[in-house]
Amino acid sequence: MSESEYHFELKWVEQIRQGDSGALKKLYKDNYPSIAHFVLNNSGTDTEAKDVYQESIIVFYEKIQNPAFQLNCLVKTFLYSVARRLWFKRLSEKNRYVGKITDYEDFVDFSEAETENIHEGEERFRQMEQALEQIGEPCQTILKDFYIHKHSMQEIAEKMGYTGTDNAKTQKYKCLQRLKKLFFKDYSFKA
Amino acid sequence: MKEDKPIFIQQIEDYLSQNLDEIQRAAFEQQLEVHPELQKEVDDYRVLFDGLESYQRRKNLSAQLESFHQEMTKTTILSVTSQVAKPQPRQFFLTLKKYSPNLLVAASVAILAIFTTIWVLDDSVRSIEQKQKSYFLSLRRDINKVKQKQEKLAKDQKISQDPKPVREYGATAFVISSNGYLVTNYHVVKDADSIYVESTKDKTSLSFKVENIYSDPAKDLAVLRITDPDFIGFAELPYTIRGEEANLGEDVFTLAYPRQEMVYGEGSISAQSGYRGDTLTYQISIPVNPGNSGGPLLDAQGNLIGIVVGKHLAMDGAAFAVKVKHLKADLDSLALNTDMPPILIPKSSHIQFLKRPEQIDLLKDFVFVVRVYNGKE
Repeated sequence: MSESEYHFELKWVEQIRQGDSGALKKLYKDNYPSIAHFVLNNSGTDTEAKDVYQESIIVFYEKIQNPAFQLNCLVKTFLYSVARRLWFKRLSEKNRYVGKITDYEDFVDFSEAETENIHEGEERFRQMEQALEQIGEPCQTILKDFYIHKHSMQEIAEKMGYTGTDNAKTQKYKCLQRLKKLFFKDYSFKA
Repeated sequence: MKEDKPIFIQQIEDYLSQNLDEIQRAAFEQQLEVHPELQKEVDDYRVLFDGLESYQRRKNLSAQLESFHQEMTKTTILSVTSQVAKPQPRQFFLTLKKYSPNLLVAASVAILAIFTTIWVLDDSVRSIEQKQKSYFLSLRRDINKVKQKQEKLAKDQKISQDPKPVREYGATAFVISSNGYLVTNYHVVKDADSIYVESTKDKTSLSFKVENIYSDPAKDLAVLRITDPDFIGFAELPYTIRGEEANLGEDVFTLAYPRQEMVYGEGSISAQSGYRGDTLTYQISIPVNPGNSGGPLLDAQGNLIGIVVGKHLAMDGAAFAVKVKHLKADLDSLALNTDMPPILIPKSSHIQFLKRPEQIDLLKDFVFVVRVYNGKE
């Protein structure tokens, strides 16, 4: 990668890091065809191509949130390399791995630790989703409203019909405790 | 233990989100030192809160990416269809279009004598909401209409005018180059005011405006090019054009849109010439219906060998497909006479070793409905 190219990439990455949605959209649109092509030609469907692609964008996005992250290849190459790792994993999970993968782009071969890291985000997300699902009502609504939709305790108390914010808070902490149990039940199992 | 009390979790959360003032924090940290099990509890909650936060970030990001995706593959046809005056009685229109005057005369003579006629597909309005049952009934009725029209045609060689202001035709087209070229039949797109290709991909509908950039009336072929600014390109074509002519008895199949959903048809090459010895076409034993026109005809390995054009009315299961070599010739002459991006066809089929459902799964994204809007006729 030439110096000017590198410079340009860094600028772009910086824009995305700062939450520039236009830059992210451009990234999304520019890189979709090559990754879709890869997945479709390695026994994947459109939906799978889209999933794998979006997951690699998320991995990239999460990576660049860490200031220590160093980009040592083109963004395009990075995304492609992540996507192909993710796709290997899905193929093997589905027992569809046929032993031959056709590549269409340059790619970086990640180390085992890095590969682990790629899958980690998605796994943690699934765990959290599962835990939130298993927790049941009213906990699910309360926790989602507070931690995800960022509603205030007062709003939540009104919505759920608690007599005061304190009651809602107490309920919230009970829920949090349950969530912790459910979350770590799988977490420790996998660790 | 103490941490079972909500108030305790609240303290942990306040501590982790740095909501404690200095004195409170110092007190809490002192507690931590004395109770190592509390430290573990704090660590666990830290992981949990991080998890919740990244869960939330991910949700937002996914929603954003999904909207980019929708935008990338968005449908533009909606604005157009709303302007189109739909024919009111949802009936089936069939008009006769011609291969060539000779064929027409031959066909009309034939129908008068022995009830044989060639019926070129898809010059019919496909009414989507119509149930299959009425579809077939009206189909029969319209064949009579065609007969009458043919008699009339034999006299004045003119197609009768229809009073309806805007007509909508449906047929099939397929991708011949990933950079936005498609192929269909000439009789589908001739007289078109505007042409769109549509397909449904994972429940989102794709629609592109196309223009007819090359017509070959003699072979009934037309090449379309996507002009939509939103179009970014198709994936690499899974099929290629087969060089050698198809053999008698070879297994072949087609994918097309005789109705709103894609329909698969299979059969074999039943003759190496078409209607009345027409050497431009193969006779194939695939059941086809109006709307099949323009569909790709593929061999068992998924190589393109022809383009479905029409069927024999008096003979069961006899349809015709233009041989692919004529398309090849058209594409070559198109390439010579244009400065548009080159038509790129892969050297080999990617799907030759796959089973049929897998082949279709890969092929289906390359087959489109053609919608032709015509205000003149």
